[in-house]
Amino acid sequence: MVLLSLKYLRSLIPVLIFFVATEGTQLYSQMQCLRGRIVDDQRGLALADVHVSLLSKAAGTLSDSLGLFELCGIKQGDIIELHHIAYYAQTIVVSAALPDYPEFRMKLRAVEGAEVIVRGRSGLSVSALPGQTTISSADIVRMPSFMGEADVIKTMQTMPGVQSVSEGVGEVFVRGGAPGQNMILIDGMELMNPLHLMGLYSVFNPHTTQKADIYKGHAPASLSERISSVIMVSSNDPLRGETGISASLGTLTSGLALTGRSKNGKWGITGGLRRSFVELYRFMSMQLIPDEDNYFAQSSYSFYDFNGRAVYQPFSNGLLSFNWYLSADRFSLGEDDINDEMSTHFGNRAASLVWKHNINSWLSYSLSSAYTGSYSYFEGDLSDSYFDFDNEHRRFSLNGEISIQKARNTVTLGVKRFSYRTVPQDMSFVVAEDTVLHYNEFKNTQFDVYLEDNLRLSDKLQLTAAARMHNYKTKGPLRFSAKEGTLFSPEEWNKNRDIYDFSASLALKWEPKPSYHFKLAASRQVQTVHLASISSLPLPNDIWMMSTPFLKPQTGRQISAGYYNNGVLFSYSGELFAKSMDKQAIFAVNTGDSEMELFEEHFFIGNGRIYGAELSGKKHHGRFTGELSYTLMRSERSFPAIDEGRWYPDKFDRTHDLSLSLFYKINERWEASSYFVYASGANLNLPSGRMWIMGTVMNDYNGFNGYRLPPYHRLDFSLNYHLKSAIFKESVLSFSVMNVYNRANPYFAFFSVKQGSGNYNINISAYQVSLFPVLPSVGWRFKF
Amino acid sequence: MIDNKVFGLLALISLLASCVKDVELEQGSYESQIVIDGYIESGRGAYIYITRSSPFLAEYDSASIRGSFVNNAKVTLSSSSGEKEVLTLFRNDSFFPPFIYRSVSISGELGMEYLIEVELAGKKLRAVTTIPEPPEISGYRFKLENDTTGFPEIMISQRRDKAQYFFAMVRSSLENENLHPTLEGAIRVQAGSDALWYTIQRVRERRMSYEGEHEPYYKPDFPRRQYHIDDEVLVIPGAIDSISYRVILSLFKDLSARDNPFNFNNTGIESNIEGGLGRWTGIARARPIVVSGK
Repeated sequence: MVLLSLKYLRSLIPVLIFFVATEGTQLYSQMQCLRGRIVDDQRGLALADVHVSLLSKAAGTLSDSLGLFELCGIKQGDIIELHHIAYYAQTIVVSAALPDYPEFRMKLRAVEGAEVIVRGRSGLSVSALPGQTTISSADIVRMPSFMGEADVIKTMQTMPGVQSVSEGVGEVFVRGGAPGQNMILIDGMELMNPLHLMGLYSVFNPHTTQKADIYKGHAPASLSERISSVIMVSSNDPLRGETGISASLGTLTSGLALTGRSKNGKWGITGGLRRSFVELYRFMSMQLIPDEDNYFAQSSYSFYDFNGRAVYQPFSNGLLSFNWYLSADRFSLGEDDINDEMSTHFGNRAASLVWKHNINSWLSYSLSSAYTGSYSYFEGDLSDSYFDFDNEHRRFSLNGEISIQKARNTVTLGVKRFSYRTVPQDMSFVVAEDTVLHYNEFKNTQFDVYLEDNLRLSDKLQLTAAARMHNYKTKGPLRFSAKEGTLFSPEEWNKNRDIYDFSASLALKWEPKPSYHFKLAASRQVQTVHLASISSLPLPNDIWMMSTPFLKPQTGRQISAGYYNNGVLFSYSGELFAKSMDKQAIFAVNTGDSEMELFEEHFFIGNGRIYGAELSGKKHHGRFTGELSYTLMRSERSFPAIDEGRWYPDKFDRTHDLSLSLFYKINERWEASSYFVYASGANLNLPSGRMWIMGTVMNDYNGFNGYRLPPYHRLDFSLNYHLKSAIFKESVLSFSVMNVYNRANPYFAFFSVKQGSGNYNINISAYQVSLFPVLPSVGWRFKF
Repeated sequence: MIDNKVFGLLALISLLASCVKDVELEQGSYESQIVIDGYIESGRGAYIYITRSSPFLAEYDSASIRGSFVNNAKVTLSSSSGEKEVLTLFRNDSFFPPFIYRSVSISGELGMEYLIEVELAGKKLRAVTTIPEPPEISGYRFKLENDTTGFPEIMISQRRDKAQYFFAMVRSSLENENLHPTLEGAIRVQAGSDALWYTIQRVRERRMSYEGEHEPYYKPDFPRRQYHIDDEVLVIPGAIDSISYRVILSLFKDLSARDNPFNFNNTGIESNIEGGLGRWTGIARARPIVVSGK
């Protein structure tokens, strides 16, 4: 492995030299970039999220967690303003007197100061990669809550390209991809099972969430591990953010978060805990309703999550952080009258340790190690059988990254080493006196090297180029005696345990004027893990399965082009995209139909193709704000084992997906918000013809997934009332109504065929299952 | 069974009364196909029903029923031993469809291959099946679940050299039903040297009868899948070839997934009829058994 890494590094050195060398040879007569760092005047701590605005062009950027920023397209005499809600604004005149890497110190505002209105634009990307969006904690709280609780993923679903409907599924679908093609991170830790309560809640505590970023396909090289998206949730920075306790009480859950730091400001901690209290309803219902009529008496559900980060800053340029995440869902159901019981238990465990160090103004590095684990246990004890199906996935990673930041060029070089242990199937099935046991375990390693360069070619043109090499290995050797005629030979398996592949991206940003720009990008991603859905709808018990010599890594290719107009009050954008995917896997449960010698034989392997357009418009400022998003898309799949390989629409292919979120600040006490969504229905494989076989009506199909459910639409409304309190810093009552006009949205449809009363008479009825009627709720959130 | 439970889970945890309502669904275009439902059993003749498939939501009145019958086809049966016969059309009003093509001179033999060719309105359909070795049944019993209910079980001996595909027809005397396939349609018994107990789980006869639905003996509150000990369950064990197994299994899996959003992934229905839909099955019959808990 070491030899291999050296081999990669040797091959990358000339590229690295090229990028650094070109830095000194490019001349820009008009344009300059200002790179600098912003710190707290008293404590010298780095300040994140400072708005750095170029007044003459209404352009700007934000400082990162280390207080660093870069603002390009400036010239001598320009005026730059630094704004932060907690600090006095500062004005800087660009002149030759400024050092190469200035440090700006901002003074803390008095706490009792008047309201500060920050005007500026966030999200002006330094990278040329398109399809990246950020949402803040304020965006999350503004959305109408679900059962009294704000939700990070539901807020993310208001963005174009992110499917806005997740009723009864809960997973995230980005640009037609599958849930298993999203990498979901919190503070750098990956969460493999990002759902609570079968998807009604995401696993992110809104109280600890500072912001969430999403990359829709084109991701930085360091994150290029999934072919659909990267979703990064960042918790509050305990050294720079507001300290104190915040909490909420919803209809089904309550949450708590604590942020504190030491007096010297060198260390701090943010922690959050959420817990459901469905048991309370169970207890109450058992006092009022006889057990035999009480569904709650026979079932229980609970979940919790506990996450946080502890940071230590021994000196101003270095930061050590320890992050953790734990969550679990437990559900059980018993039906005493027929002696049936079932239970499921699933969750996440993750931790990471990260060290970041800015050696000087242009050189920084980071080192980190992370552990991610997910598990799912399912047990069913039925009157005539017992079924136990467990799966687990663990990943341990070591990462190192070095970044060279010059005025017009940022080069990032990194290495990652992963080791995986996956048990996709630990199953026992007992019927009568027969017991069937299946256990499969896979161990894999992966070594990646990546190089990325963000290069400013001129004052209007910027290039991002990245490459990532993957060396993926399945531990073995595999020993089994293949039967004659099988497609799978052990020799072939053992010969192909080493896989070499690459990810790459190239993006161009053209900014004719600071108020608008264009982006063009092409990328190729490799994903070494598959999320195999055991049924036709995603479930928390779905299986994470690493690639093997016979189940190759999936690959995705995407091209996109976009136009982005960033006004101070309004912004709007449009993007076109197209992508193709190989080695898509569907898990086919072996119900004993055939003899399978290898676990990989359970999978159907196929391809995918997706294309579409995204439009977005947003009003940022004023008492009335809002965002309109629309996605037009086609997402198709082709599997040789399904409908003879013909292309068919993916189950969650929704041609139209529109969402509109509005927020209005009525006065100092009242705020109103609403959310409307309209989306084409999902696709189902309903029969189109019927036939008589063995005396009964059997189905015939016209293609696969050939039936589209009626459209989905829903309106949510919410009112927030800010209570006056001497105890709390903030105390807000939230009244929400979900599905205001009680639309019976289709979740599933089926035909029922029954014997009629006359000769040869049959009754065929179509039924639709809907989940959520009108749902009022009240929540209370407070800070002290 | 398990995935039905998961659906129950979803309905519960949403804490909402998920509603099921009648809806009008639009029928997409559908081109009618010729459907063959045929079998030939060892020691017995061939039985072939021919119908036309219909759009799923089409009205089902007497005219459309007549339109689905096919009684003007020429059906030729030939065997690998060189026998050949044009099948004769019979009428039997107690079954649906009421027209049946039967062989008069050819009877099924173990190890033989049988080809049918159907000529109808300028179209030609064909299908091939074989009759394998019959299953070896080494015992049977009625396994009690409690004092009054239980399951019929039969013991199938594994074959040392290859898997066998088990297909049985059953009939409950208390239910007063026709012979019908078991819950699974067909099962695969892998190669080995043991004998395995196969549990017959009660399933409602799916056959649509001529006379409409009769009053069932087994009501919904009767223990699921179980038989009463007083019942006499006729079991006709049989074996089919691997292709017929795949076809029958796909049809039965599809039926069981009809109203379940969490059904396992599958690839749809299969057929071994070239140019049409349906199944042509060679069945090696074993000796019929009556199992009772009395």
